[in-house]
Amino acid sequence: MAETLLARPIAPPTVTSERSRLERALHDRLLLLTGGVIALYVLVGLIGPLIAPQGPYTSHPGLNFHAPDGQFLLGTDKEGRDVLSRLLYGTRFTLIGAFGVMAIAALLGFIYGLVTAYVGGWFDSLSMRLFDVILSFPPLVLAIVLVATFGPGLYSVIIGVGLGYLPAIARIIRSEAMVQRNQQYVAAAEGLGFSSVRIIFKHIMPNTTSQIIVQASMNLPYAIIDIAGLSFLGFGIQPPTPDWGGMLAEGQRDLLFAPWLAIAPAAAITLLVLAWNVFGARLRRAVDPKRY
Amino acid sequence: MSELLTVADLSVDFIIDGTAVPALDRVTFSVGRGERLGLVGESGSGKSTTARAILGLIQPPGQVTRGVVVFDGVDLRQAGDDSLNNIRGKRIALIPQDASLALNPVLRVGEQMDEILARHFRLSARERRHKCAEALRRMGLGDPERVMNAYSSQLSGGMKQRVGIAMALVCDPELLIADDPTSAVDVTIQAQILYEFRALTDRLGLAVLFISHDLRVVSTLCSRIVVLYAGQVAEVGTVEDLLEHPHHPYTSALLKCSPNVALRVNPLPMVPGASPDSLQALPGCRFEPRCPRSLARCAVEAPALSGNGQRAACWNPLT
Amino acid sequence: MTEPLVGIKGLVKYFPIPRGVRIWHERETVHAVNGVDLTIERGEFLALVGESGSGKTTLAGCIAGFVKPTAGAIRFDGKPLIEVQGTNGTGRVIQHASHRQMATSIQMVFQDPSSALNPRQRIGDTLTEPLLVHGLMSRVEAKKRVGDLLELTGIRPSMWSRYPHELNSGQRQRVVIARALTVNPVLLIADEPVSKLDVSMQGQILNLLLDLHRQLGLTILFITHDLSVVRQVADRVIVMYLGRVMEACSADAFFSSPRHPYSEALVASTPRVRAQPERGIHIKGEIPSPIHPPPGCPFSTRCPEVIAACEQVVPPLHEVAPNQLVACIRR
Repeated sequence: MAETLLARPIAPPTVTSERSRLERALHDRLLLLTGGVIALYVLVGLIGPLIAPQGPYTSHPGLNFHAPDGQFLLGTDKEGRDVLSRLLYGTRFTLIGAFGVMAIAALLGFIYGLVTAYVGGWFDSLSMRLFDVILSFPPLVLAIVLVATFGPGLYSVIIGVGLGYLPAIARIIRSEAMVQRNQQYVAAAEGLGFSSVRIIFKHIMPNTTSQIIVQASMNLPYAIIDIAGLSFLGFGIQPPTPDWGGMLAEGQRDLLFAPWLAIAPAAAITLLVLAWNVFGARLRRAVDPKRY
Repeated sequence: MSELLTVADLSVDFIIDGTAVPALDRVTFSVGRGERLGLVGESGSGKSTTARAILGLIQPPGQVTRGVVVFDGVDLRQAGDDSLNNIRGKRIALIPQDASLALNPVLRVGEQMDEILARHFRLSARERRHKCAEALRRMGLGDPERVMNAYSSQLSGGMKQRVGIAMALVCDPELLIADDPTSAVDVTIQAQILYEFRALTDRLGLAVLFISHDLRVVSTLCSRIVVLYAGQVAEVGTVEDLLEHPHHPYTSALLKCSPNVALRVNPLPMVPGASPDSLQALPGCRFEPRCPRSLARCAVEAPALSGNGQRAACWNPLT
Repeated sequence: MTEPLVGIKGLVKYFPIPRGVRIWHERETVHAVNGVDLTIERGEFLALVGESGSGKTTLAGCIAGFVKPTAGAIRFDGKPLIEVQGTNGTGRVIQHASHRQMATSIQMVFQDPSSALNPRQRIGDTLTEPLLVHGLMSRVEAKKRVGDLLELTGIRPSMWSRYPHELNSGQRQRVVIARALTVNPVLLIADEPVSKLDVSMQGQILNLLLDLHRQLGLTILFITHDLSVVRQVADRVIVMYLGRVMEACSADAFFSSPRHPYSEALVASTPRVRAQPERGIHIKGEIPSPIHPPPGCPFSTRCPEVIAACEQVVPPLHEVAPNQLVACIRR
């Protein structure tokens, strides 16, 4: 084609994009490990009741505040109920609660942030002012208001807390998305006649998934605790329904002489949150072509 | 030994993920008193790293692994913090590439210049103010008081660049290291600044290490040139020697590839491939993969600088 | 005589500057393009030259559809493209063709190859996407067509599954150009396509553009500040300063005898090997702010030949030699 100063071909640099992202993910041991832990939790959520040694509501009179032993592996609570069984039964509620909140806050927040960043104009300004209003309320207060409207129960709480977290997450995604929107590849996509929907979801979104994974990871523990707080106040899951957050709140009272009541749910929550966060971090690495 | 600055065997590695990535490999050159030396290189050549290494500004994950930097008889690598701070800014000054980034946006220009003087000299506030105004005036800023009172955002690009140079000159240094100081300004302003810069450094007898990617600018301003490729010195010599009979194939390529406003060349020459930007520790010459004159030896053994006066690191140099 | 490919009349673009807190101040505007008439002939390689504040990028943005003009009209391929009725900035904007419709006629290549490609998309997908979106062909056909394009633009097939960060900037710029070509544009606007590339790689892209120009009959609008690059590629040159056209002529005429004082200064300021530095000094001073352009000729504040009349009246573009237009009352 053009006269060059060189006649020999150049060897291309060795690259690592040969593997698909799925392959990279599957080769990451830590990702698999933490993914396995999360899967385990989900499994327990599904079959918890089947493997629990006792019923969650079955109280054993005279055996309350029993320390962990052969019969009650994690001890009993103030009603003489088996902590382990309650823990296993409660898995599903906690998971539904926490992931429910994340689904609303992170998923909807993600989409909202992306769209408002791209669309801009009055829609964006209006949204930001609306968010300002929502953010001026503590999430719990907002949830209480919503619960008062819809009636108590897990789902009201999920919606309430989820909507409380949504603006903060949407804002962060919005800033990421705005950075991307100003990149020249977005201008090029517009110039090529791509629809806005395509540009938002096929071009900008993949470049912001890093952020959303971070946000989803970070907010999970708060979701669990906020739901617990609401339940404790009587707005969410009503006792005696077992819920880790609720168990934790109750257990704090009796921490000094029956520590297992708090330690058991705390450990369960901590392990989930840890696994979730590490999973998120490894997932980001696997998904980002540049970091591999 | 009349050389003001001597750099010998300077090597800098960056430790990334446990492996040492060489950014500079045995770079050697010297700057005489009152001489303007051009350091030319493309992206990844290590020219900014060289400037920072001379000033002792290499931070982890980078480290200087070998080599000597001698300024007026002082070994800068061995010098203690006190002597280094006495030399940096005062006897050796750096002109940054983009003054808009180097100027603090929340301080007035006068305050920043004053800070430099106060750091290095015992002068009264009025004396400092006078010196600052002098430096600005020397750089062609006719109303120095106004400039000193202004914030950097209130100045145009060309003015900011002049301020950047004036700040380097305010302590009357002996050596200026100019890191591509005109690439951020428009071409008509660049022409003015370069002209004034040349006149000023001539008048003050300043030594300059002028770093640039633009061989044409360097050939106009400097008397000698060092050509850097991928962290290694490819060739060093006077401007006349390098332009008339380059020895190193890369120097020759650079010359041929630089577009000339006086002549249309069709098709335009180019060098296929690219400068290695993620360097591995290659045993041989780094230009070998792209070199039209490479021999088997070139990939295996890195050539050292050889020659008299005009020196090139090449096993198969042009004559 | 056939109508030119692009006809621009009276184009004006002002960007309002948000006042922010200072609501009592008068509204300030950036006069990015301040009255431009120009034409682009079919099949020519036209260089649009200017420094910062010249308005060249804004002008290109108006042609490509990214920027809505404040006043003026643009015709493309014999049909009106966009026109603004009324000249005081509040006229009605009639857009005759949408962005999407123009996509297959006008394409733009940008300056920065690293942000011009989606970092999360493989090169192959980036290149087939426009074909699939426009419904022009099936996935299999698209892949074949892209294969032809790869050959045309000198991209190796091995790059198909790579990500942009695995390519060097020269290769990335080729991909950007290839992507623009997928939709068979008639006009390619290249905004400083080699400014961010190493000198040893600039030749690749410039030769590529010349080849495309010759082989495909592609009309190219090449925007740059670097006259030495212009010398290598352009058929015709238009010089802009502070939102107005200063000179328009053939490249040969421009480089043998530039007429406008600003053109002379530009040529003299262009670095060349071992030039005398005094050569570059024809003018002093800074480029005025486009927020407050000088009355009269925009170059009057720096022109070595300025007279009183220059500061009062904007000089019109007039013909000083066949096909050489200059906006200067002294030439």
